[in-house]
Amino acid sequence: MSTPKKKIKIFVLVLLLFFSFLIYKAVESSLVYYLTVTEALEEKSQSQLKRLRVSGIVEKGSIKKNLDGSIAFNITDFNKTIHVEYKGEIPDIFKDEIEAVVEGKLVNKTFFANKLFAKCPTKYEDEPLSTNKVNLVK
Amino acid sequence: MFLFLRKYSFISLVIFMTLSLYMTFLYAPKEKIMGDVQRIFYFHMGYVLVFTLAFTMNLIYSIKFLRHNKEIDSKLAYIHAEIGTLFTLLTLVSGMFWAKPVWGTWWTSDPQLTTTLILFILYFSYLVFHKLAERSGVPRYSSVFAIIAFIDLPIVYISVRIMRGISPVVFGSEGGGISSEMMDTLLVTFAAFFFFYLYLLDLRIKLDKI
Repeated sequence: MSTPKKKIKIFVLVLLLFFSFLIYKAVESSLVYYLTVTEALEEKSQSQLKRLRVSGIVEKGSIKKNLDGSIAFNITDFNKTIHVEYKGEIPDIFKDEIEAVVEGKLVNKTFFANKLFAKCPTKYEDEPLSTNKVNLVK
Repeated sequence: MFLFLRKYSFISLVIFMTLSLYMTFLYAPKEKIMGDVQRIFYFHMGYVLVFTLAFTMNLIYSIKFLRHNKEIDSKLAYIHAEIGTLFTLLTLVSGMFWAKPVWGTWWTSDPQLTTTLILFILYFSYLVFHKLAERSGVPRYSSVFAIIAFIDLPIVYISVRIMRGISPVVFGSEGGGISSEMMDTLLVTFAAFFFFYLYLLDLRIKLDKI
């Protein structure tokens, strides 16, 4: 008579194992969601082969748009700098001095990105426009 | 726990939701860097509030059921998980619509995004498992499942602070905060979603005739 109970015990065990595995996988790959510029340059032997995610501040005035639609810019962690080349969709908020995350390969100090993300600000500020109530009062 | 408020939930929902919609679109200022798309933030946080409350209540009723073995606790736990799962999905979807223009991608394996997806899968499995356990005559098993699933909820909150990711930390000592008008809008939206949650709960309890 205990067959349904046994079945359910096995089912619980399988589910638990499955979710532990999922959580482990998520934590393992996400612990290093990105490297800093310095870390990426240090990790030379590996970074030549592996796909990397690197995050840094876009250096002011370094964004150059090429005729074929690709862009080039430098990202920095104020210690070291990497030159990035990228072709693809550009996030709306991408501009100088924002924090960007690039995904791709590092070859001879040039980063060939095939994905470009912009990190959103952690501080939400009002837009300084005349339509803004605060400015109307002033 | 908040069930005594259910009576007034509909009228409060109408009032606060109207106010919240007005504030979200007209009162709250346009964000400096992200622009109008940042207005998703208010509802996004509202969804987060609902699933946090719902999963916490699910945990409380699951523990209650394990201790006193009353059928009503098991049913209430299930109802809370249903609402929580729905709002976890809404959080994921609204987050994706926000991420596409701002980050430049619908999805990335950021720790907070990943743990939230796992939260959704866990509670979706719980819903299926609860029915299965009930039918097999061992409803207590699903309560144990609920307690284990709940572990992921604090992880969703902590992950963004202790691991590197793309999801921002806005509140707390590490965050930059939001302007006072944004905060007003957020608080009103929280109230609106709190009553939305109570109203859904009320409807759902009536549906089950508990």
